[in-house]
Amino acid sequence: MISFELDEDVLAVQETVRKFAESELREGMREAETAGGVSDAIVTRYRELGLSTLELPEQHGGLDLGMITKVIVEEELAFGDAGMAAAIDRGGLAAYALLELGTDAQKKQHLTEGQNGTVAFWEPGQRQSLGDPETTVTEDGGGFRINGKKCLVSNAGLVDWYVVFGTVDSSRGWEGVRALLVPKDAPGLTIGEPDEKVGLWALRTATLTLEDVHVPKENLLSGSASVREGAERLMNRVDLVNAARSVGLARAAYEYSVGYAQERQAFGSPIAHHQAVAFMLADMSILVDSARVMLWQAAFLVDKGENARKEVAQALVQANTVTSKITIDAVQVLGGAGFIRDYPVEKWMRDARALSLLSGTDEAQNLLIADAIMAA
Amino acid sequence: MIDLELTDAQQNVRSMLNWFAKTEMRPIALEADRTGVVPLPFLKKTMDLGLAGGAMGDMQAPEEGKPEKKGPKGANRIAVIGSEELAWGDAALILTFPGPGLGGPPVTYTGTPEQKERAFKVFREDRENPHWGAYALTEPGAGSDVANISTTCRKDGDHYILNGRKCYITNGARADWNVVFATLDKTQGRAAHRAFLVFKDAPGFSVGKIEDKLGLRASETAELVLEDCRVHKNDLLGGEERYTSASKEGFRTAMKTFDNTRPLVAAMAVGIARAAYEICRDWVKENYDLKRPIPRYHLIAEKLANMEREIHAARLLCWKAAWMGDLDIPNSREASVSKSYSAEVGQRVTTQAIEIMGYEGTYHHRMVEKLFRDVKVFDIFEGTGQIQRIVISRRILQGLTR
Repeated sequence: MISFELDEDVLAVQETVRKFAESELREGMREAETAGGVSDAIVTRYRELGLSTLELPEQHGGLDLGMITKVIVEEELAFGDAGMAAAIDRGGLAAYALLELGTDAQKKQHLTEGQNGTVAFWEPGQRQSLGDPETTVTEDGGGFRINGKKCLVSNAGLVDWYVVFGTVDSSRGWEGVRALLVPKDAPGLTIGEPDEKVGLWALRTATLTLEDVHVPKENLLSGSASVREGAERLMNRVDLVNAARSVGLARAAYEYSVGYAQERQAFGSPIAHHQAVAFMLADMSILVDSARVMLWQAAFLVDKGENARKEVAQALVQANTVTSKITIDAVQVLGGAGFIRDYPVEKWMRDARALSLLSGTDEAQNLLIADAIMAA
Repeated sequence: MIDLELTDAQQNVRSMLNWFAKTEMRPIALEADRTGVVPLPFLKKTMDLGLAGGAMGDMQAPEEGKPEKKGPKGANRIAVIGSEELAWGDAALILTFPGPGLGGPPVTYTGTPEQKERAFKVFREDRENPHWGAYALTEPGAGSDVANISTTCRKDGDHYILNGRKCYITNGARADWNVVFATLDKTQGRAAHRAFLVFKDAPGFSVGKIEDKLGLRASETAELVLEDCRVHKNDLLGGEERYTSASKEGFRTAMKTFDNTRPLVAAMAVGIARAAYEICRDWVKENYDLKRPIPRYHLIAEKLANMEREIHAARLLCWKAAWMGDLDIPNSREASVSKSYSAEVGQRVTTQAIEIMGYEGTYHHRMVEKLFRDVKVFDIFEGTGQIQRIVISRRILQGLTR
């Protein structure tokens, strides 16, 4: 049909989240950055507003508003602060893993009765996302034994359990991949010191080391007939959230630049009236729009139940590309002010790099897109 | 509700036009580009199929026999979908489709019932011969800077006398009539602008040279000369009562046209980009196994992925601007966004396609070099990329839109 119209209930949610993002995230972002994390109080507030579960099915405590609402919410949160948006989301990634890979019992226990987990996506020697882990899983006395290393794990050390992907036989590709729930106190699980990153300091990430970690067989996420398909649906959701945060961050930098350029005078007029600056602002506006329309369409397709792996990857690459450019240009618009910490844009430029790498490199996404192109 | 896929009806339009583009346009595109001649049977076919009118005006033009009726609610969306498909076939040929063309919208939006009847009658009644309308705004000293036009009009009894030169007018020479913009008094700015329906037999109207161009070579681009050109006051678009002393209606006529046609023009650039991308992609498929070994062809994979992504983004921006147009939501920023982004993507994609194909990409028969030439003007006509950015930045500074 082609409609970009938001429903009333989505507009209401957007209004709520906008206020929350502006008052609590934007206001507190430097403090959270310096502290390297967010307070439990803000996590609680985020949950109380119902923002953490609105896209989930009703039977699991959600509002069934779908990924389309989720991406609108995440754009607003990241407009407040992208690092905090990721940091307050202490259950979202794991919720998606449970939703797409878990059994009903696992969903009931961990989704409906409170979320407090994360997913360990990356490995130091990563070749392909999730489908090709070096982490090994061996069956062992009715349970599983896990050995390996996971890096850049979001909210590591702050959650009760982790979803870990490993392989029972690396020669079997996806066939050999297992997804397991690992509780935080499992013997053999070590959580490293928080990473020092280029940006997104408010989001704690760390390396997990798993040495002969044993979990019972009930911890195997076995609700999806195909681990590959479940993992791809999981990645679709996660990538949409990351893309939405990129769009929100881009918009933050864009709007701040517009405001600054209208205030700052040079040669007798606001720099916004100088064509070289005005055109940068126009380009920002064009690019934010281009990323958002792709994001919305990809979310729409995911909500429809379509595979949409390519469209989601495209939305993510567009958002990341656009955000990197806009945040760099924002520093340029502010000039010297862009360089110092009294202004937010230097932070946003660093956050943009961190954000676009946390979702895997754009080059890896492009290979996925190219594979789909060549297979068509 | 957000809904970003096509309905069956929209899909049918797309399929039908894609079929036409593939079977009727592509086969003649290269020769028409070389010779600048469009075969009459092709023009007749566009008329028989009801494509006459061109993607750039027909969709908003009144339905046959019902000059007053406004188009259906989804007209802009159908038009951008259709423009992309037809431009995928051949963008220059679209511009040659008989019909009111860009002249359609100003007549539709601002013409009196009597003027609409006079302008559109010929398309309805003469089904045997191709007829065109055209839009004559640009002058040697006023293109995107519409307000700066120098062609003058002055009242003389029941007539107006027009003097000036118009350039780069698509179908201007073959058109039955041109919508000509002129000023009563250049010092009065936009308020003094007037638009006239100038028929080709008007005394003092003549055609200057036909341009030889970089791209879109099958399309006629003409210079028009108005030397004491005499038109009746009934040819003043909208009638004299439309223009009060403080009114800017004349200028608004021009702008209204742009807001509705920019997404269409943008969608054409998307169609050209897609054509180049697909030719290049198929060429790569024939010549390389991209999957193995990945490191060797990673650069090509990366380029193809980027090309497809940007085309996709551009298309969605066109859809959005068109959707807003259909719902009467002010869309001048979005129209300019779609236009500037699509034109840029078109240039980037056609350049990359040649880069990937190397020498082969420069061969005429591969068509990519033609698309590379054709797409350039999409960053120029209907407002250059720079003008679009001026429009966008002004809108931004008037108040942020999210």
